[in-house]
This record gives sequence, structure tokens and C-alpha cells, in this order.
Amino acid sequence: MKRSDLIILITVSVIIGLGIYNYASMGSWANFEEAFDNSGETYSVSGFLSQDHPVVYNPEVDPGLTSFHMKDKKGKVKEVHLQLAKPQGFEQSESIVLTGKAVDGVFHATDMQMKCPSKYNNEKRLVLGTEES
Amino acid sequence: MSIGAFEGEWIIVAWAGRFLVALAFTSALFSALSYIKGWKEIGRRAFKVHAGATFLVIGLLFLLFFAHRYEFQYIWKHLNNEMPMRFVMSAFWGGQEGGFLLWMFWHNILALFVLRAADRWEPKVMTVLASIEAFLSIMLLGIYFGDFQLGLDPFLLMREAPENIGLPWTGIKDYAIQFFQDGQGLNPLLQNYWMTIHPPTLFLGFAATSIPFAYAIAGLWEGDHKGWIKPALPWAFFGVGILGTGVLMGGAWAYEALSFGGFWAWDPVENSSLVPWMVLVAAAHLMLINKNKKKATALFSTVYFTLLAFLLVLYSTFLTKSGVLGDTSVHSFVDGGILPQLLAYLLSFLALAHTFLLGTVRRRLIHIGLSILALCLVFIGEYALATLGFLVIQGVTATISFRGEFKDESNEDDSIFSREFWMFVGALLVVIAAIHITWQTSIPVFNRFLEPFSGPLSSVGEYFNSDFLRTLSLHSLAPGKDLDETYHIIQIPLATLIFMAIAITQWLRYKGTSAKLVAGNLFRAAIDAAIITTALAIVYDFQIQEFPRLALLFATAFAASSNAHYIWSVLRGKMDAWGSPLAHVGFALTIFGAVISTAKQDVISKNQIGDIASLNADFNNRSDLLLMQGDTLQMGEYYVNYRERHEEGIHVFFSIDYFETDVKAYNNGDIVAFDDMLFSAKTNHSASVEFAYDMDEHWNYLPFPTKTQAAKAERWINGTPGEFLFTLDPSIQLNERMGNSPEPDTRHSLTSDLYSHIKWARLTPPETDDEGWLGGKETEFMVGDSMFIGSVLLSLDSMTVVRDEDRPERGLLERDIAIVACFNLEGAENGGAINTKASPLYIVRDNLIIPDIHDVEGWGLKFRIDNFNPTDEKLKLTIWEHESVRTDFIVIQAIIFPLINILWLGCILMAIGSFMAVRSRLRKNRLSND
Repeated sequence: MKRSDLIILITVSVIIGLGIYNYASMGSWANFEEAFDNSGETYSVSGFLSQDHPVVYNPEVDPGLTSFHMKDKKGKVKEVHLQLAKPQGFEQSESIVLTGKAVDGVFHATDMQMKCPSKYNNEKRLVLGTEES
Repeated sequence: MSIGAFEGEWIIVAWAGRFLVALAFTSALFSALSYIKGWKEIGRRAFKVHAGATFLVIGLLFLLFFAHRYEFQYIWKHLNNEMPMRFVMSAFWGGQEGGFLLWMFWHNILALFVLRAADRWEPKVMTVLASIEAFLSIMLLGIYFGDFQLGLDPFLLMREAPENIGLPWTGIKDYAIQFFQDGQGLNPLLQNYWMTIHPPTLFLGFAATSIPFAYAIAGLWEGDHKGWIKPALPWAFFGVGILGTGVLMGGAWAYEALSFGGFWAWDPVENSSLVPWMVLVAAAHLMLINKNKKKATALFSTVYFTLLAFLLVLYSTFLTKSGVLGDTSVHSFVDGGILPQLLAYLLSFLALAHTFLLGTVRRRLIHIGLSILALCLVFIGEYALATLGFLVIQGVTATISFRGEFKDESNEDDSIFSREFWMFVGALLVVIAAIHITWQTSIPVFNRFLEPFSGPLSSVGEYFNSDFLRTLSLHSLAPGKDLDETYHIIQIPLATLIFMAIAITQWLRYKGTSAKLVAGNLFRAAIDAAIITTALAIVYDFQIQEFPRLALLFATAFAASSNAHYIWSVLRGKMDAWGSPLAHVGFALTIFGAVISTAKQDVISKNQIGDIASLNADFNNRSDLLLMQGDTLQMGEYYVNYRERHEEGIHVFFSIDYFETDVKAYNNGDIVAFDDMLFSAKTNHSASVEFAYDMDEHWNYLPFPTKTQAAKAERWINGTPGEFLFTLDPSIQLNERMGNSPEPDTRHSLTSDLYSHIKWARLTPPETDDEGWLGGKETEFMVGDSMFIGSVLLSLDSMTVVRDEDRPERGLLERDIAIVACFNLEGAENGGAINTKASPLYIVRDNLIIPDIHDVEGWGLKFRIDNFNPTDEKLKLTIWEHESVRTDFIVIQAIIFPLINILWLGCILMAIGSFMAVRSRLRKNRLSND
């Protein structure tokens, strides 16, 4: 076999191998219903902070626990225990993505990504000098 | 400057700006077309007009910024009156329009240098560069075709914005004066010097990738597959230097100003600027091999990687600005439906590059035809299918070209011991690593590709009962969250191989080397590296499963040592040739520093409060420390004390003092301040834990201290017997609109960094009633329970019925049911524990509960028993705290990064080395041209 063909063969095999390995390490998205149906499995769930429930953070008791309720994209609201200190700007977040498992009716999240109000927020409207967002 | 219907509105600038943008677009297009026809002079003039127009557009926009013209949407969005003008640059490229203008700015400057060189490649190279400029100009046109907007107009007025059209205020004559005296302002997180220097560097790097791209296209177009390499080579390494610097700046910014606790997060925005750099590195090294060879090595790869570097920059633009990343990145923003345009931009240049890979006009036309067909699918909205089909066409073309046009052009006989063979292997490894990163980052894009096939995949998946196919049909793959599993496990071994290649190849000669010579030098370097690695393994206690990282540390040490040896023994005195090995030393040290500081980072703020609200055994993420004001706690090898907070402008700083844990020794005559009183030591002694223990025996009180004594006095704080070391002031930047953001404070020392940041702090004063009592907290107690209220431990000792004899003095009637609850309160004051008892009553009279609020004097607490349930013996209590006793506290995280300075040293060396290499390359080119 020509040397260049051999190199190509090896390279392509390596790349395919990486792809397969990476596939195995992928997580999956779910909504709350799926996450709670498969209790104990790790999922990423995206949604919005529910403004109808309080955000509880008592650092004197446990600085690494924030409790709140999240509504997922299908509208289901569930209690969430996040193992992090309450992030800055949490109440103003536009959307959040939790990673964790559903256990006993509560979603235990180990990680959370927040999307903060976008600098490109086109929803600001100006009505006769007063600003409303 | 008001003309027409509206007062106080700089409408002239809007007209002028839009005219100039249109002029920029047309002149770029005209320049490209002229150059295609070979009309050099006209093409040059047209391009200069384009450059002038672009610079004027930028000038006008700056004018609007400096003049605070908030009636313009771009100014309103990114500026406000409060912002210091030194951040006006950050504001300028705070939005998409500014970003494109910055890119065009650099691109024009580089192109003007190409014009100056005026070599024989100019017409074709400039055609490509002018086309790129034309496409970029389209992004600024902001023309509407019905509902569809082409580009974003930087001069859009607020009253013209689609969401504002039709609103009543847009008709008011002096609306600009009335309503637009201030703007929204730039995200405070971006108001720092990093935002001023990082984007320009990065965009200059991006612009630089287009020059080798243009030369490669020119070469293919001309049918000369090799001649383009020599003039493009300095540009390629210039790009490597600048883009690399830009990427590293991003890491430095994250480390210094952001609070995720590191310098690299494998975030899509980071990855998409790293990947073009990696591919450019590979391309540049392949170009280096081939610049003078009669028979090239891996010529197809050389050309292809060069093309790919620029195309990946376009892909990066697409990923980060189109919103396709959705929920996978906090950086993804969707602005004005720009996805189709960015996609069209990317696909057009993809097609252009692949067209020229083919040799004959017929083949090229077929390719263009097929590509246009696929592009049409974009216009009917089938982005995923279009792109997929499009990519298949390009892939087939590349393969045909490799087998056809590039057949037999590359050397098959390169010796295994030759420099070119190993540089090729190294370049290939870099590209594989880049492909992996791209793959991982593009998972959301894959989801889009899978969407149209969801139906068929699902059916076939059901038929074969395949989980794999079923998962694919859901097209909702999520990137794994564990960076070790997703990135590190693959990048670390690849990087190890790459650095081994870097170590070895510097000593190899082109065409072949004597093994003996090489082996001797390499052996010496390997020994050095082995010693360093072993030392690290012992000092930092590496475990067996950390072998991959240790191997990478060895490889980088080997590469650094090998290249350093090379400079010392071979190149001594020949400073001209130091560029390359120095850059490699720098690169190796960068990765060495990155690996050791992150692998052995130590989170010293592990939580020490007991598991009162413990969840699952799985979850043990205790990395934050609660610090009450005035309290001292141990954190790693320090005692820390949260002293106070103070506000400066929009920042709240939290001063945290760090002390040694070793006991401090005092000598006769030392002066200290304790609790605002000054004392002088009367003996030599070692400090006890509390001042009270030492005070009588060892200290003289100074009632009238002199000024010198007061100046000399060190602070004596209970619980900190050790010496005061330093203070760190992590802060929180307040911003109501965008959310507060924490900023770290780091203590830099030679061998490590101590990085600290606030995880949580109370920023709004708590709500109290008129007398300063905080809202009541309801709790339940049983006999024997205890609970912390602030720093007071409240426990319920017993509950008894009030004896008849005691009733009259408590104001109770005979028929009342009365229970007294005996509480014990334990608190701390001046280092000592204090106790008191409180006995609130629970009174029921005539079936009504009589409220009895019991105030614990001096403790700032009051209770009221709301209910007593005799069956389960539970007491419901409401507790109020007074604000005067409520202590401020913060939650912090502190991490020690060992040997992180090696990382920054590496960056500096890499930058210096790259530029030395570019300079010597330019000099060599000039000499050989003369």
C-alpha cells in the first residue's frame, strides 16, 4: 500500500474511533417528565425559574444548597435542589439549564447554566419616556 | 444637525453612514470584478475607495459614540452616560455590527499591505480579499426585502427599529431630546481593559487567516500548486502568532476577571477560536516544509488545511452569532435572524474553495452548479438538508481533487528520519485534535442535521430495536458535562504525542538525519524532562490513574528542554534562527503550566459546616466557605478573617485578611492593636489563641499612645495566633439590569496563585420593620431540638405547665392554660461563650391563644409561641432577629493554582518566538527576492 494511503487509513480510523467514543460520553436532553420517569439517570433539563415559588438559600445552614422551582419547556414545574451557592443574577435569568438527576420528586442538580438578559434584548419597549422591559 | 421632521436627531449622519456602507459594498464588489478581469489599476483604486469608505463608517460611528447620540439604536444599546469614556472601544465592538466593522478594519489594513507587496499574485489574491470584504459589507447593509432583513444597519435610528415602529413617541417632533438623553449601557462585565484589547487581537488573527487562504486560492486558480506558498508563509506565521496571542488573552481575561475559577472552560466561543488557530498551525508548518521543495510533501494537505483555517473562522462566526448553539452556551445570542446570512456566507466560501480544488473549467462548473442547487434549499428554509447535501458535495469534490488534480504531486519517499515526515505527522495530529474539538462543540449542529431524518430513523430504530438509532431520531443529543470525559481524555493523549513530535523534530534535518547525532541530544533532553516530571509526581502526589496527565507533563517538559538545548548548542549566537525553537519552548511551557495548575488545583475553601441539610451521599459538592464578619476560620494553610465590606462606585469589595497558622512570636516592645486599644509587649512570648489569655501576663496597656506607636501597631485578632500575611478583596460588580457579577482577587506568588472569589453575599439590606426587627421566621421545636439563629444556638430544654403559685405574677388567670417553654441561648462574645435562658409563655384563655412576645434583652431576638400540639409535643415558634445583632457574612471559594506562572511565561515566550520567526522569515524572503 502506498504510504500516503496508509496514513489516510489510520487517520480516518482514528477520527471515527474518536467519534464513537465521544458519542458514548454524550448526555441527553430531557424534560422533567422524562427525567422523573427515569429517576436516577443524569439529564440536562432546560427551562425557566418559576417566579411563583421562593428561591431558598440559607447560607448559614448550608452555603452549597439553593432550592427553587423550575418550569421546563413543557410547562411542568418541579422542585429543584441545586448544589451550588445562589448564583448572582439568578432571579433575573432568562433561561436556565440544569444537569442532574431526579430523585424522590425533587430534581437534584449538580450544575446549572444561566442565560442572562441578552445585550441584544429587543424586547425593550419605550412608551412615552417610561421604559418597560 | 436636524433636518426635516425631527429635532435633535442627527439624521445626516445616518444618511452619510448608510451611503458609505453601500459605497463600501459596491466598491469591494467592483474591485473583485476588476481584478478578475485583470484590470489591476482599477481594481486597486476601487479597493482603496472601499477601504476609505470603511474607515469613514468606523469614524462616523465613533463620532456618534463620543457625542452620545442615543437616538441611534447601536449607541443606545451599548453606551450610557455613566460609562467612563475609556471603555468606548469596548462599547464600539460590543455588538455584531461593531464586531464586523472591527474585522473589516483589520482586513483592509492587511490587504493594503498585500497591495504594497505588489507581487505577481496580486490580481487573484485581491479578487479573493475583495470578495471577502464584499460579503462582510453585506452584513452591514440592513436592507429589507419584505420581511427579510439583509444584514444589520449600524446607523439604525431607534424610531426605525421594527419593534418601535408605530409607537406614539416615534411621531413626536423632538422625541430625541425628550426620551433619548441616556442609553442602556454596556454590560458591566465588559467594561474593562480586557474587552478593549482582546477582541481587536482576536479579529486581527481572524483577518490574518484570510491572506494565506487567498494565496492558496490564487495558486489553485493559476494551476500552480506550490508557488503561492513562499509569499504566503510570513502571513501564515503572523496569523499563528496573533491569533494564538488573542486566544491566550481570552484565557487570561477569564482567569483575572471572571469567577468560574479557571482560564479555560471548553466553551463553544473559546473552542471556535482555538480550532482555526490549530488548523492554521498545521497549515503553516506544512507550508514551511514545502516552500522550496521541488517535490512537495503532503501538498494536498498543505493546500487543504490552509483553506480550512479561514473556513473554520467563518464557521466560528456562524456558531457564535447565529444562535444555533441554543442552550449549550451562555454566549449564544440570537440577533435579528442572522442565521441564514451567516450560513450563506460560510457555504459560499466553502464552495469557492472547493471549486478551485478542481482543475478543469468543466469540473468547476459542474461543482458550482451542484453547490448552487444545494444552496437553493437554504432559501426555502431547509437549512439542515441544504447544508448536509452541500457538505457531501464538497467532500466528494475534495476526494476527487486529491485523487485527481493532486495525484503524484507529493513525495512518497520521505525518510522516516526526516524533518518533513515528522512535521507532517505533527500537523496531522494537531488537525485530528482540532476535529475532535469541533465535533464536540458542534453537537447542537448535529441535532439540526438529524432533525429531518427523525421519522425514518425512528422507524428503522424500532424495526431493529436499536437504542442508538432511537436516540438519534430524537435529535436531542446534549454535550456531556464532565470535561474530563468529553475533552480531556482525548486531548491529553493527542497533546502528548504532539509534544513528543515537537521535541524530536527540531533536531531532524530535512531529507534525513544521522540517528546517532539526534539520539544523543534527545537523550539529554529526555533525562532533564524525566527528572522534572518525577520531582513533580512526588511533590504533588500524583496517583496512578493520573498517568495521562503525567505523561503530558513529561512530553511538554521534553519538548521545552529539547528546544532549549537546540537554542543553546546549535543556534548560540545566531539569534535570527531562535524564533522557532523559542516559540516551541513557549508553547510547551504554556501547556505544562496549564496542566499542572489545573490538575493539582486545591480548593482550600471546603465547607466545614456540618451536614445539617444533607441530601444524597452522591452529592458532595462542598467547595464554599461561609465566613461571618469578624470570625476567623481555617482555610488550607491560612487562617482567614472577613473584616469588612466597602463600596466603591458600582463595586462592593469584601476585605478578607489572611494569617499564618503558625503561632506568632512577640518580642518585648512590640506594639499591637486589639479592639481599638494599643498594647505593648512586656515579655518575649508566643501568642495564645485569645488575647484575653495573654493580656495580663504579657501586655501593657497604652492609654496615651504616640503617633509612631499607633503607626507601628499590628492588629491582634482572636483566633489568629499567626502573623498577618496579606488581604484579598474579591468584589461584586453591581448591575441591576444585567445581574451582579462577582470578580475575583488573586494573590500572585512565584510558585502558585491563591485565587478567591465571592460565591454569595447579601447585597440588599434586609427588610426590617420600624424598630429594626427582621421579618419573623417560623420554625418547629420539640424538647431537645436546637437551631442556629444567626450565630446564636437556640435549644429547647423543657416545657412545663405554669404552676398555680406562679400564675398571678405572670398575669395569668386561673382558667388559663399556660405552658412555659424553657429555651437556652448560647452565643459568642469576645471569644468567650455566653449563655442565657428565655422562657416565653403559651397562653390559651377561653379558647383564644393570647399572643405573648418574649424579648430576650441584649440578644436582639424575640419569640412568640404560635401553637403547641400536645399529641406530638411540637411547638410552633416565630422568631425575629434585630438588625443590630445580625452579623454580615459571605460565602467564598478559594483555590490554589500551583505553578501557574509557568503558563504565563510560556505565553510570553510563544509570542516573542513567533514574532521573531515572522521577522526573520520576512527578511529571508526579501533577500531571496532581490
